Amino acid sequence: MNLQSNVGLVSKLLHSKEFRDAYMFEHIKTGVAYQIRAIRDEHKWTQSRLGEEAKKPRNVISRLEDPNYGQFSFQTLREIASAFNVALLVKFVPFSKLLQEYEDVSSEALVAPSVHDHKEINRLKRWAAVKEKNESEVTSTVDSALYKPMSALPVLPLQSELEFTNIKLQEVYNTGDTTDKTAQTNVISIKTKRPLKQKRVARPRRRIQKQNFPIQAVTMAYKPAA
Amino acid sequence: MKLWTLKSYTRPDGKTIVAEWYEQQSDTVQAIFLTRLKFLRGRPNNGWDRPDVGQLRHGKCKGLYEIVLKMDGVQHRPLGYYSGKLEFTIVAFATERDKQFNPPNICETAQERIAFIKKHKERVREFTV
Repeated sequence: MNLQSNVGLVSKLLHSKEFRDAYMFEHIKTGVAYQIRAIRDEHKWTQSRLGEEAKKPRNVISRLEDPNYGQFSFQTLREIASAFNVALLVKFVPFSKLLQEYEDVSSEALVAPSVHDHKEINRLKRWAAVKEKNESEVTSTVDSALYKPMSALPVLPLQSELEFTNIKLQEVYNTGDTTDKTAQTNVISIKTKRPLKQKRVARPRRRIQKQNFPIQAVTMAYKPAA
Repeated sequence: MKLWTLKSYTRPDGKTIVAEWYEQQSDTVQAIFLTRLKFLRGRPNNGWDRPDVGQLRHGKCKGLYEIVLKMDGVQHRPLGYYSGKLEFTIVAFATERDKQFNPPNICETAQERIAFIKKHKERVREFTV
């Protein structure tokens, strides 16, 4: 028997502000209290030990782990997060996100690995690697740059691995004066270099069969291998 | 991790006392109750202790366990017992003030119901939150 069906829960969230507010606040209170307990258990710390790390008396830790208490300040949460070497996220979210976030409230789900956890270290490094890869793939599509003012163009990061020599961007400035049809064209050329430590991929040589093409077409069709 | 199973004593008509109590509460109390029990289900076996759940040790309440819930300014106390591994059965509801339960004889009622449902397992139903 479901005490409150999912459909019923959503209906209450949609139609009752009293229910919504209480539901949201209780998730914060209970969630924080249970997370502190779960992470402390994961570290195999006593409340006294956590108190030492967070520079708080043991009875304060005990109150923080009581979901009935619910009176913690932002400063206290920051200090607890610092003691655990985890981040703290304070963000307004839609109720749909709250429901998703708290679908799994097991201890495993509530534990936040510290920045010293080897899996977390790998995750952070992977994030950095993916971000660097994305940022190094600069698109030099003229179309995307057209009709955009200079300020809207992407600011390319200056990194030691990247060397800017030529970027071909074409901007057309419209003076806005309908009588003046002149367009000023600026060409700035910068070329991105491949980031370091990337293997050169060998391009297959292309064989073009001899046919009776006009000379100009042959020139355009054949590209010598690099 | 396996979640706790929550069960409730039922009336002869099949209605659980949890549903009966829940429907009488305000939106605020309902929201808090749903949330707290949801989180409690996710606690490991050694996590069902104070301040969330406490054992009663005196008089007619001895052997019972109370779930400590402060909701909307009132101290609510669902009473029950551990009916199996990772299983808790609620058999009565009370409020608490100045270390006194209301109704005052709620522990006797709870003990009678526990004795009854141990012989009549059909009068226990699982519920989810």
